[in-house]
Amino acid sequence: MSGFRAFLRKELRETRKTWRLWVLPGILVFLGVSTPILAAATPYLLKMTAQRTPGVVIRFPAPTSLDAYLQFMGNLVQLALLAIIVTGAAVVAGERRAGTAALVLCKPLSRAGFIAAKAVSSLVIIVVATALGAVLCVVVTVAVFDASHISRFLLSVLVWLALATMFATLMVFLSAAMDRQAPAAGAGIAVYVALFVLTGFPAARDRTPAGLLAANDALLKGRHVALAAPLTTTLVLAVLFVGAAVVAFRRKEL
Amino acid sequence: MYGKQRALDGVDLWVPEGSVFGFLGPNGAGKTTTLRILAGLARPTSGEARILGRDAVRAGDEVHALMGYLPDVPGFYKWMTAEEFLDLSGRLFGLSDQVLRERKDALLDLAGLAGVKTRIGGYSRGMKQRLGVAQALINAPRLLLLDEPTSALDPIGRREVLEMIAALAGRTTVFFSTHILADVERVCDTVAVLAKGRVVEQAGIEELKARHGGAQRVVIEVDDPARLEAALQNAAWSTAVSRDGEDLVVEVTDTEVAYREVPVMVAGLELRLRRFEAVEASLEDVFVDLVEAGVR
Repeated sequence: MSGFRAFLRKELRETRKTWRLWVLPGILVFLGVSTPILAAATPYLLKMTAQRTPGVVIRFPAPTSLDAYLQFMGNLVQLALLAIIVTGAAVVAGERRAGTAALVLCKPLSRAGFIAAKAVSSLVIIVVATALGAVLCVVVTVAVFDASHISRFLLSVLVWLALATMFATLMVFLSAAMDRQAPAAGAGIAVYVALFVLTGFPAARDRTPAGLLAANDALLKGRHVALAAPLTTTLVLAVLFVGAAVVAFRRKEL
Repeated sequence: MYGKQRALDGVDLWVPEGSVFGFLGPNGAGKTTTLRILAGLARPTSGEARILGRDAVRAGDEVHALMGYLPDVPGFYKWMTAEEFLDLSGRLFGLSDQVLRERKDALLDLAGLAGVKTRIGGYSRGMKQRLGVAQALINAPRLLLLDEPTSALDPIGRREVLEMIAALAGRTTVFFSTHILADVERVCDTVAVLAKGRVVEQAGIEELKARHGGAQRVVIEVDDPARLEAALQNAAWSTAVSRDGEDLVVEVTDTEVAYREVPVMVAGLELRLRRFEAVEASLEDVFVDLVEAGVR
């Protein structure tokens, strides 16, 4: 994998110097800060709405730290995964279309090195952004509510990271295999929807990444969740997607 | 193959080391395809491509380490500066920090980009092409492949890039594809002409003109061309005489004989000689003839 280190360095610098910094990290930082505040303010907001409509009385249980963490995880599963899919669609296809891939791949940078650097940099961004968002969420939640449920929350975040890893590598594969980013994004969203559908089928949910999509609620509420099979499938798929991306990219002309 | 059409067919070129080699052909002849295959960015449908004695497709980095490549439309990372792009290029070649620093300075100077801190996204086309040549030289390559480096440039940008290429003569082998014949005449020693995916001729520019330039011609302007025309038609060394306005265009068997005899004839007829010169076939004439013959 010649040229891997130099190209990975470029990838990480690109994240700092371009719009990439503001998408996933920006979303997660915003969610980390705003979700606990919104969770705390929701009863007051609903109460104010009800006061404007005479005769309407809304009873709302007092929010807790669990509500803040549940809302944050819900946002990760929806908003953050969609951001990974949409931004990931451009990761290889964008470089091919811009001609930048041709200019670096005519040097001693192998196609496997190119794909590996793309996958690793995507994972680094996801891990750093998630860690930042999660830490901010904990800090604000402790300030607004209390220090309960932190360990369960962190476990949920780790499980989500496995799912995010799979989606990031899926997008590297789709972006390498397809000539344009729009079809790659479309295919990524189709996989995301299909996984949501699979959560309704216990036999599939317990053996596939769909199990991780559905696990957050139970994990945060302290219920037992069988994670071994879905986690193993998810991580094996992530590795397979990277391999498939290398094979697909080697066949592409630049 | 592109569909059912053969894009390249038995292209075999011998490029002298240290030369600036012009790879000529009309649009669609297969120039860019040839260069992309040699650079390892495309693969032949069948057969093999060899460069510097190695298989261009399978050797991969072994070949990449020895060559530099500039595509027809180079894609740069717009957020980088020229220095940052050269730094990335050098690191991909595994250059040490010291060598990289020295080469970056020298190449930024050569490209006229020393001290330019603007990001590449704000560069003119000419600046990008000069940076393109510079990045292709970062590894001090044995072979530099340039795909139409001047085709989209204004006259000043063209001159600057051609001066860069001319400065490389003797230091590295430059393989330069183009359809701009004036550029070829200006910087190339040797050329090959590609038509419909086949090499129809390869030679030095002068040799090419001599070989395919057709009959030798002289142009004569005198005060009474009709009288001289009649005399020229009877000369043994003249094979055809025609008029181009007031000029007489004479096809001759030997230019040296014409140089001796024409002034004698003009003096004998008591005419005034205003202009007398031998006309060389232009590279354009040769190119058009070769391409048309190749297409047929």
